[in-house]
Amino acid sequence: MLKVSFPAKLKHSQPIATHIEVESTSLTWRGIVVTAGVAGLFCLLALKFAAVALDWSASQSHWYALTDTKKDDQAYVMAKVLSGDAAKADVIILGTSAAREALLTDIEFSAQLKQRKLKKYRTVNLATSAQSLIESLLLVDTMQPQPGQTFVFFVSPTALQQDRPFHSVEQGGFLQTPESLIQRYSQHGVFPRYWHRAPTRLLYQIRAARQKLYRLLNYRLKYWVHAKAYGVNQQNYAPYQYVGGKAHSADMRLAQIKAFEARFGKNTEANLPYVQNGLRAILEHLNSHGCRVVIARPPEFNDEFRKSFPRPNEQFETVLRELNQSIRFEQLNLNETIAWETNDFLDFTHVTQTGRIKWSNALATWLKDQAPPSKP
Amino acid sequence: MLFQSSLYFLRLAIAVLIYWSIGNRVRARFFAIVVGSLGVALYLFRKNLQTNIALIFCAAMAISLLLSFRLGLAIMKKRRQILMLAGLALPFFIFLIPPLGTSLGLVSSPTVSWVVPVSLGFFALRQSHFIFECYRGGIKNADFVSYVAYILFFPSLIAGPLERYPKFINQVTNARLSWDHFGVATERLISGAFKKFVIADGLIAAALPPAELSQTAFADVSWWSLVFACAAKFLYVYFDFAGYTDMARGTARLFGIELISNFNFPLLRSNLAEFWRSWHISLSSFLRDYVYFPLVAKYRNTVVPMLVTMLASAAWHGINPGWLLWGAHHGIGLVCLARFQRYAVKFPWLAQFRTTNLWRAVATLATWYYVILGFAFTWCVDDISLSLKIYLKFLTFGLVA
Repeated sequence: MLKVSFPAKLKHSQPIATHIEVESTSLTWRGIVVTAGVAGLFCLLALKFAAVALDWSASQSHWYALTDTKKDDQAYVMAKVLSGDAAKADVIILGTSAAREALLTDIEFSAQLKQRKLKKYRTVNLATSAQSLIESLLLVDTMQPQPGQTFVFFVSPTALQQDRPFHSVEQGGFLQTPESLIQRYSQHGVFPRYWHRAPTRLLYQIRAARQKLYRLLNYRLKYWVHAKAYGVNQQNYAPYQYVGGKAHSADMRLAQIKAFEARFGKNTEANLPYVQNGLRAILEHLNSHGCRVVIARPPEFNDEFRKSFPRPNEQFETVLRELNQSIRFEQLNLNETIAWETNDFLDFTHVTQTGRIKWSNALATWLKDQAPPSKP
Repeated sequence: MLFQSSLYFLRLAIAVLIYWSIGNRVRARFFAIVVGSLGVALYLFRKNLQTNIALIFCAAMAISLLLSFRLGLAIMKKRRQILMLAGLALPFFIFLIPPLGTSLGLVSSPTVSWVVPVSLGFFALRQSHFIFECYRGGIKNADFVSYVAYILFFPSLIAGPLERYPKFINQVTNARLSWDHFGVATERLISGAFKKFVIADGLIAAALPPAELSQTAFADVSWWSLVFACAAKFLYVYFDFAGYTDMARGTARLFGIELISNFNFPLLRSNLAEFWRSWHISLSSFLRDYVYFPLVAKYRNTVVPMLVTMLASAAWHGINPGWLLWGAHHGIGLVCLARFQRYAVKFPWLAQFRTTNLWRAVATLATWYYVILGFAFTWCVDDISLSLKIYLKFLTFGLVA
């Protein structure tokens, strides 16, 4: 039993802890009740947290509450996939931030389609920042594609220059382990060999759990407290990172060209087989589910990218040509139908609000042309 | 923060290995501490400052160290008050560098990470302590390497705790390799990391007001929200700083050095004086020894010294209206408590009642309330009217808004 005594006059140099002494180590009913109470409280809290965490994968609203403003587009798109939104959609957009920024929000874009008499046509945008092919594969593999769905896959030679195409999945950015990919695609050469190792797989499970916990505390709990205690309802997710951005200056574009050049030189050889195999795996997976696949060129001003980087562009075109010989897919370049202006672009591929409207109009028009007769 | 970097732990392991491989050669030990600490200081400056201002800081720190050491030696020989005052003021000139650098156009932006001003504050206080102790006779001899090792000792470089020079030198000199050091250090590093990253950053940070809430909007929230925000801030500061201190003490213990503890269960204290004796102990004992006691000796009463000491503590946190009001709040609280205690001893029943658990529980809650109330001044530190508005609203249960 602990006996704590406080001296009447305590000197500063005399720590209070020295007055705590252990009289005996026997258990008392009081001790047992208090310990059990504290332990029970902790267990209840743990259960509560676990229930909330488990519930995430079932309810879309819980995911939305966890997403960060501007940054957390990976959890946001995975929420769309897990909630069944993507499975119910007619058109699914995949790609990098270029595709994310180029389209109006799902609601606004659906309204545009409605104006074009495509009332039942639903589009879900699953594009995320620097989405690599393994990330696209993770999304389409998780969502269970439905026959008749159209996948517009915005992919360009920029896939060859990515520094760390596997980083986000390895870090649990989508809050999912790549376990299903490892089981299904181990022979396809779409990810590095070290993914097969047991410790690595365990590490990815831990990281995905850590990301969930991080979001639970930093977004869900925090936003709930902010709403209840301070009456501040925070915006969960902003679809665009470049809102209010102005067109880049010539200097910035030049700096961007140099950065791209350096990354192409460093990464192309390593990325090329992954890009080839990843694209093949995605196309085969979607074809096997009876989906229509369109490989689309992201927004591009005046063919600037193609002119600046002819070699990677040619390599990428070769990959597509070779794939097209054995797998069925269509190719689309909306740039040919849009009268782009300099102010429509922030850089090579990211558009401004005016560019977004132009691109969304062009895609809506194309979808109307492609829509089956029963849909409108 | 420095401690959360994995590279830090790797470098720390190497430093510990080198330190203990030196054996009992004391001078080499001090030298090793200086080299390691300089590495950490340069890393901090490089990470948090523009190159040109980092160089100016390094030069200023070197000059300050040299001058304060020479002054300390001079004071040991001739105990002149003017030398002591010059020595006390000298280290604080380093705070003029950021505004001077900006006004002279040496830096494009005055933005300085919190790490730099806080670590410079501790840098200045340690030098002042050295000068004051030289004057008072607490330090009889010193050499430059051990002095620099004391000032820049890297576990306590950023945010303390403020160790005393004689104790530090004694500990480095007499440190012996023992497994106990590593056991205690690991325990402290783990408990510190838990307090800082799990409790403070993970849980309590969620309860702090959101950045979207403007200062004016914060002043208009309900009384309950205000109490909740102030309580959250109090707990956040405690767990964040206590966790940090545990990690600093754990790191120091790896080198066989036992740094002073900064907290002694302050949340369990039943009056404000006890609270201040167990909250940020290294700084409050520093202020007690170098501000409060000299003033008590001079004025022969405790009211003015208490107020001045708490205002000095406030100035340490920030020279602005909010913090100064916070200091006055605590100073007045301590004065009132001292009066009450003097008054209470005249009534035996009251003295008897003060020994009961009921009194202790109520008094602990009242202490909590008073400390949390003080945090009302810390939200809008530059706006005196808003600070007072929040404080009065808190104090009057929302009646005066």
